[in-house]
Amino acid sequence: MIATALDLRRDVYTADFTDTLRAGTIAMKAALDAVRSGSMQQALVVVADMRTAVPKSAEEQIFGDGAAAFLISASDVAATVLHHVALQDEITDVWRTESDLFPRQWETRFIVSEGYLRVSREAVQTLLERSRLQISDFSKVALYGPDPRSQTTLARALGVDVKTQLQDDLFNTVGNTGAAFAPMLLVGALEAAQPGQKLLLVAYGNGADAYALEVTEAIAQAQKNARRGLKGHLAIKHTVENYETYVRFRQLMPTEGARRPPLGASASATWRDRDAIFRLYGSQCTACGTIQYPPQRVCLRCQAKDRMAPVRLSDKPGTLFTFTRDYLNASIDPPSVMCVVDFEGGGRIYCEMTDRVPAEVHVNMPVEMTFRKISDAGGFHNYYWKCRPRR
Amino acid sequence: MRTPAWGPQDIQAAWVGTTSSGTTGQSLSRPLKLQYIPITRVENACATAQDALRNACFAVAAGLYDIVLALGFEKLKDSGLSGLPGSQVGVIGAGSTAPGGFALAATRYFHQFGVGRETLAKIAVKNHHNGALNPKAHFQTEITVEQVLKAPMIADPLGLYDCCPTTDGAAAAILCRKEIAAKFNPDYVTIKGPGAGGGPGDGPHGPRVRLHPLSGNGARRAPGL
Repeated sequence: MIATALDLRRDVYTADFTDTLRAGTIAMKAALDAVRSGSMQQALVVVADMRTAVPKSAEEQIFGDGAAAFLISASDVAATVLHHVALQDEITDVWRTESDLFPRQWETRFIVSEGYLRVSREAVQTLLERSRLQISDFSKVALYGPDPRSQTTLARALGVDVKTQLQDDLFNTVGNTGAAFAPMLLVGALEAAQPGQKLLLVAYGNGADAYALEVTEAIAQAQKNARRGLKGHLAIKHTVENYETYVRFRQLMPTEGARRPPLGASASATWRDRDAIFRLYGSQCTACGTIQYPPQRVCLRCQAKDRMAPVRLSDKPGTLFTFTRDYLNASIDPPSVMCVVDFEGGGRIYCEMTDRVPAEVHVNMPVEMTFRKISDAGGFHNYYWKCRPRR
Repeated sequence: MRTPAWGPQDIQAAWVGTTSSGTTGQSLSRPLKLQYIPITRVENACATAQDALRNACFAVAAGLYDIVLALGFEKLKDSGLSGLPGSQVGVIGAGSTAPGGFALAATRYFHQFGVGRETLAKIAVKNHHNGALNPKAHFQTEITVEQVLKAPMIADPLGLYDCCPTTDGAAAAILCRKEIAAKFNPDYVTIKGPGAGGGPGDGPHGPRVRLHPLSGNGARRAPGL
């Protein structure tokens, strides 16, 4: 789905890594191996996790949702992976069965001392032995931690200077984002890294991954090119007004349904319109140049027939032509802000606005497109694009 | 004189309009026990019954029938829903409601012409004033601009009074050739020309967003005018 939304070629190899808190770092190893072996020139690793906790539990204070992405490449890289160690370790400490809504865990002292601390420490020590590096060689350590206290305990046990070497743990801003946590910490470290510095990445989950990285001269360019990164995303965050809103968004509490017809979905129609829906392709009339969405056979301007060329609209900035705050439409976050957006360079779309403060929406507002899950109509996840205030 | 000896058996064809309260001509023939006559069911959103009437006009004007029935009906409250019913399949265009669609035009209109909700409110005040004069109107009480502005918001900038109320209802007309009309009712009404106009065919994704003069186009395209 990510490859399609990104409009990648269909012969781009995709693989899913899942079911472990190390899914992201395991995927990174697979990508590194593929690029090193020459099987591919570049690989994109995307890691995302949602850590929904039992309402009112201690985990709810700690867990967060997040994502990170890395481009693994054979040349011109911002950081090189010097060494990697992975240990596998069978333990029932934190888990989720097929039917569990929330992660479960065993008694804290057991999972921290026999799981996290023991295995992570072993992985790092193995890495140091094999690489002949010292812990003091690392400028920053992107260290997974189930909670702030355990993370600090491990850092101290490893000889990491908590004040200078430990990468900001994000517990106060984002929380523990599971599989995405250590990768996000690495992004944070890379944002401030200087050429020549060494970084240590440690992920934990039924074993541990430890990566030693060295930052190259290309980091300056990468930092300059970075669209938002961790800092940028934190700077544009929007705080959910209250706990009730969070619980409603996560559908953890039954709420009164709107007296509106239910949304329908058709797998075959979705498949037929997949380029329009997932890749956000419009069509451009080769006779008169008009860009239109959804893709048409007959041009809405000059009525030329079957003279359309596909055009991707997902990465085009837009401006709000008009909108409404609709209180009638069924929504988990009323009012639905329904918009007509004009794309830079032509084309217009009718869509919903997300990540917005309804009162701040106005005509001519700059917007951008963002890929979202729309509904579970038809018993399957329906994905589509929404607009949002431009960042 | 006003009720001559004629009845349903004299109706030669019928057009029945409903968007969601029945299907086929049988939604009319069953309750009225119309026997074997051709009945066309018409659906054309808010113009449904008007379109049934329009097509009935064509049949009489073409000389195919002498007497026909045109009827529109809706039982919106059977749906148990707020606003107009209607299913929505798929994600493209999802989230639209009838008031929401017109609100898009209102927002842009306000922006472009520098008017606000107060201007729009005068339409609802005028409509209610007219309703107060009509014993068959859905609402027969006057309202003020202030009431319109203070009413709950439905799809900003359209509030409760800016939107059509939904209810159950029906209306019917018997059409015949002008030459025989006086036989049934000396005070008959003639139809000069039925007008109808569609949109530009581009939908909300298109460049015009319902700011086009729909009704004006329709009147201009009326045959006979």
